[in-house]
Amino acid sequence: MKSRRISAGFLIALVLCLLVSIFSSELPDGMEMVMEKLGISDRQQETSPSPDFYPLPEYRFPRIKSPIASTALAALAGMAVVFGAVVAIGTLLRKYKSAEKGSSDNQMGIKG
Amino acid sequence: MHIPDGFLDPKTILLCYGISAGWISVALKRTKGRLGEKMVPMMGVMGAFIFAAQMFNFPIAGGTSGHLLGSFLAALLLGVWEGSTVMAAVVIIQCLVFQDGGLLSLGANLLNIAILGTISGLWIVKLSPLRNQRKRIFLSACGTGAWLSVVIPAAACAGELSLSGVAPWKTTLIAMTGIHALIGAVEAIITILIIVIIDKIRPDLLRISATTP
Repeated sequence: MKSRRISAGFLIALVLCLLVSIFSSELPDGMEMVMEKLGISDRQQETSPSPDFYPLPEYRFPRIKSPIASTALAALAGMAVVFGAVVAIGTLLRKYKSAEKGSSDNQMGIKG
Repeated sequence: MHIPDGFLDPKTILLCYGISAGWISVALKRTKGRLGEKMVPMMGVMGAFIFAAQMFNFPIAGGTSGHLLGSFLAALLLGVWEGSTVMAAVVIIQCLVFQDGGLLSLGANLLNIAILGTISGLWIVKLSPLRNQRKRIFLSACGTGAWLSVVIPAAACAGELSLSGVAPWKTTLIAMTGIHALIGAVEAIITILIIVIIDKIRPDLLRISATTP
């Protein structure tokens, strides 16, 4: 049951990534449009550190020619990185709880 | 609405970094020890989904596009502090890995998307008479909240740009809130649809948020 749910989740993620890479609009977004209108969009510093600093700049997987594959892979990688990072933070935050409970039960009692 | 580098002045950069760092440390403290077992994977899935949704730009009007923000949905389903934590992770990864939003303006982008996005709409749903009452009222409250969660960060964005002295505040504010009122309408519709679907297949997820303060 659990593995079925996980594979269903993975499938949904794959479909989402393909949808994004095929149908996402290339038009400037709301803020870019406003900056263009105000005539300040040339202030943008494209790469403040170095272009090599970013692993997947502009949501593209480098060295992959097909734009759809490149964007879909970047989306998939991004979903995986976000999922991993959030689960890691969440697990750490949960661990703190058990550590605190073990060492200072009294304090917890007063608080609760 | 990720602000790139080159638009904010040092004072605004510091101010935004200060507020965001403070808020996120409070969020981590508040969520520490309160996360249930099921919350952690759910936060991960939520983050991954919001990341993908933010990549999807839909054409909106006059050669402009918009994308889902998801901050309101995260706050509704996870709670304000958990939602802020997830959104902050998304924004930081977008900045560091995908070059979306500048390093110097990361503080401002966190303030707009991870903080203002999560708190600006949720209070409407949290007004107690609306909660768990008739579904139609609950859904319209969600729609309004989602709309606000796009328009208020857009206004904040205009505020940050004019505080930095790169644009006159009145024109910027009108232009930013104007276009994001439209983008927010799409956010509201998609958010309502997602909530209806969740209510059909996993209504327990909606109840989690209703019980967290």
